[in-house]
Amino acid sequence: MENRRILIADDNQALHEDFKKILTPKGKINDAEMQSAANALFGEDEKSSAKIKFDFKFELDFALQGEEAFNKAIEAHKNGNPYALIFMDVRMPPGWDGIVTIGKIWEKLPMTEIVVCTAYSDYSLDDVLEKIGVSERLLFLKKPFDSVEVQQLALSLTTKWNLEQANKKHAEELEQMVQERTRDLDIERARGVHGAKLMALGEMAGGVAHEINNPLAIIHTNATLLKDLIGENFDPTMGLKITKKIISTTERIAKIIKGLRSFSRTGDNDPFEPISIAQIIEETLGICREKFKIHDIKIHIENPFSLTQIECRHVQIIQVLLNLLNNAYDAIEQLPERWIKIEVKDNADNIDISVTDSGGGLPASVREKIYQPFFTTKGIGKGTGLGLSISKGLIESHKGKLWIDDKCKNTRFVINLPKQQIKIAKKVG
Amino acid sequence: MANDTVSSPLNPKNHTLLIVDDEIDLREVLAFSFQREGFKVLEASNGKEAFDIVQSQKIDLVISDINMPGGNGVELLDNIRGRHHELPVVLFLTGFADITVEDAYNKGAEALFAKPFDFKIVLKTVLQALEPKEERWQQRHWRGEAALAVELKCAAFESARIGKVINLGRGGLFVSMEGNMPKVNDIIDFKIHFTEGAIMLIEGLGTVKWVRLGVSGEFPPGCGVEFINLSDDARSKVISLINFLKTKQYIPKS
Repeated sequence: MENRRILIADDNQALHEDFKKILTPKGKINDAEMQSAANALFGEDEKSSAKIKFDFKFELDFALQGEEAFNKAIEAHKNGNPYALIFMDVRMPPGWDGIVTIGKIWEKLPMTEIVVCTAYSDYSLDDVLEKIGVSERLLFLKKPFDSVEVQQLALSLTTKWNLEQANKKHAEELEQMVQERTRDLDIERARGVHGAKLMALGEMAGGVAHEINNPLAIIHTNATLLKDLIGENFDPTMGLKITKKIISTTERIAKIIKGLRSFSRTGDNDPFEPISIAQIIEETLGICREKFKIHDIKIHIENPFSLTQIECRHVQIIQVLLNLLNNAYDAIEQLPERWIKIEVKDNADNIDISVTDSGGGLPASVREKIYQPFFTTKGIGKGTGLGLSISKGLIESHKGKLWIDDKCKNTRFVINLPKQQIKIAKKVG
Repeated sequence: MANDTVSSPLNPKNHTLLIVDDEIDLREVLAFSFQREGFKVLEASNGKEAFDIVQSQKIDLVISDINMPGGNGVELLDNIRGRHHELPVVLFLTGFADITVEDAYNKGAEALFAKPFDFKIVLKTVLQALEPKEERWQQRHWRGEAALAVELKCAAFESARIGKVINLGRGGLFVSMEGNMPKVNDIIDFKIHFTEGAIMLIEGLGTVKWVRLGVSGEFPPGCGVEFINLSDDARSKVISLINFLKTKQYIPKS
C-alpha cells in the first residue's frame, strides 16, 4: 500500500486550502477571501488544475506552526502513518521557522521528503544548506507556485519515499536473512564440534575397552586364584602378593577413568588450576596408549617426569594433546617407520609441549589451511576437520599458541602455554 | 566303555601350555594358576616370540591375546595352522572385538574368551580341548533340553559342502538355515542324513556359537555349531572324515 500522506506546514491557512484544491480532486475553495489569496499566489490562470484528471489519493494534513508540524510528524510516525512528504513554509512566526523545524524533524525522521516553500529570501539557499546540510530529500519551491509543479512534486516525492521505504525494508530483510544464516552456521559449527568430540570418543571407546578389560582380567584371575588358595593351607606371603596386585591394578583402572572424564565435558567453566605436565601427559596416554601399542607405534616422551606445573583448564589441554596424538596416528598409521615423540621444554615463565611424528611434514598448501574449520585431508567419515581449529581456540583461550614447526623435517606441532594465567581485574560499573 | 559316564581324567602333567600376552601381570597370574592345576606352562609376550617357541618345543595348547605389539594373535594362529591343521590347539583371549567369533573359529581357534574371563571356564575349556575327540564327543552326562531339532537330508557330503548347505570343521558344523533360527548358546539336536558316500549320518548335540541371519556376501544364512557329543553310530565316521579332510577350520563359516 503506497503512502501518499503529505503534511502542509504554513502559517497561512488560506494556503492549506490551496494545497487541498490542487492535490485532492474534491478539494474546493469555498471561501472568497481564500480564493483571492489563492489567486494572488497561483495567479488567475492557474485554475487549469481541473483540466487534467489528477487523482493519486493524497492524504493531506495541515499545521500552522513549525512545532505543531514537528509534533504531528512524530505522532503520525508513532501511529504507523508517517508522512511521506512535508511542504514546509520558511517563515511561520511566532514559533520555529521552517529551517529549524526541518532540522528537528530530520533528527527523528531522516527519511522524510521535504519541500521548502519560500516567498522571499528569509534565508539564501546557501544558508539553508549550511544550516541543515546538503540532502537529496530537500527541494525548493518558490512562491507563487505552479499547481502542476506542486502535483508533480507531490507525486514524485511520495513515490520516492515509498521506493526508499521498500528498499530499506528489503535491505533489512536481507540483513535478517544473513543474520539467520550466520546463526544457523554457528549452530552447525557447534554441532560439528560436538560431532568431532563424539567421533573422538567413539574411536577411543575401543581403545578404552582394551585398556580396562586387561586390568579387569588381571583382577578377576587374581581374585579367583586367591579364593582357591584361601580354601587351602596357603602361604600368607603369597596371599599378600596377590592382594597387592589386585590393588595396584584397580588403581590402574582408576587412572584410565580419570583420563576419560576429560571427554565428558568441555571444561569451559573449569577454573584455571596448577597441574604438572607429567600428570597431563599421563592422563592423556591413559586413554590412548592401547591404540598406539596395538599398531606398533612407539611413543617417546622426553622429560616424562616433568613436574613443572602450569595453570590451566587441564581437561582442555588433554583434549588438545589427544587431538594432536590422534592426528599423528592417522598420519603415520600406514608408514613403515612409526613413532611419536612428546617433548616438554621449560622456558622460565612458559612451556613448550611438542608432538612430533615420523611423518615427513605437511605440504605448504595444507599447512596454510590446517586451522580452518572443516578442512581435512582425512577420508570421508574419518575426520571432521574441526580438531585443529578447536585445539587452536582452546590454547588461545589459555593465552597460549599452537603452531606447526616448519623447520622440522618431520611433522611437529608445538603448544606454548604460559605457566601462569594473568588475572584480569573485574571491570567496575 | 559305552556306558561310562565320565571319561578317564586328563593328566595335566603331560601337557604343555603356552600363554601369550603382552600384559605381564596377566601372563604371570595365568601361568601360576595353570601350574597349580598341574600343567607345564611357558610364556611369551607377543606372537613372534610365541611362534618361535611353538617351532622349537612341543606345545599342546596356546592361550593367546590378540592385540599385541610385535606380532598379534591372529597372525600367530595363521602361522600355527600353517604348520599343522590341528596342533597345537589355540584359544584366544580378547580385549574388545578384535575378531568376530565366526572368523576366530573359521581360522581354526577353538575358543574365544572376552576379557575379563572366568579362569574356571578357561580351565574347563583347556581340559576339554586336550581330550581326544573319541572321548570328548562321547559325553553322555549332558542333561538338558535342546532348543531346536534340525534334521536334514543331503545327497553326498561333498556336494552338500560345495552347495554350502552344511560343512564340517574340526570341532563342529556349519548348518545353513532360514526362518526359525536358534540363538547363540542354544543347544541344538541335529541329525543330518546322506544318501550317498562314505558317511551316512552326522547326529548329536551341539552348542550354537554364532548365527548369521541373512546372506552376507558369499555366505548364506545359517549358524555355527560346536559339537557337544555325537551319536555312537556317527562318532568314529565323523572323526575319520575330519582326519581325512585335514581342515584347519574349527567351525567353518560356510
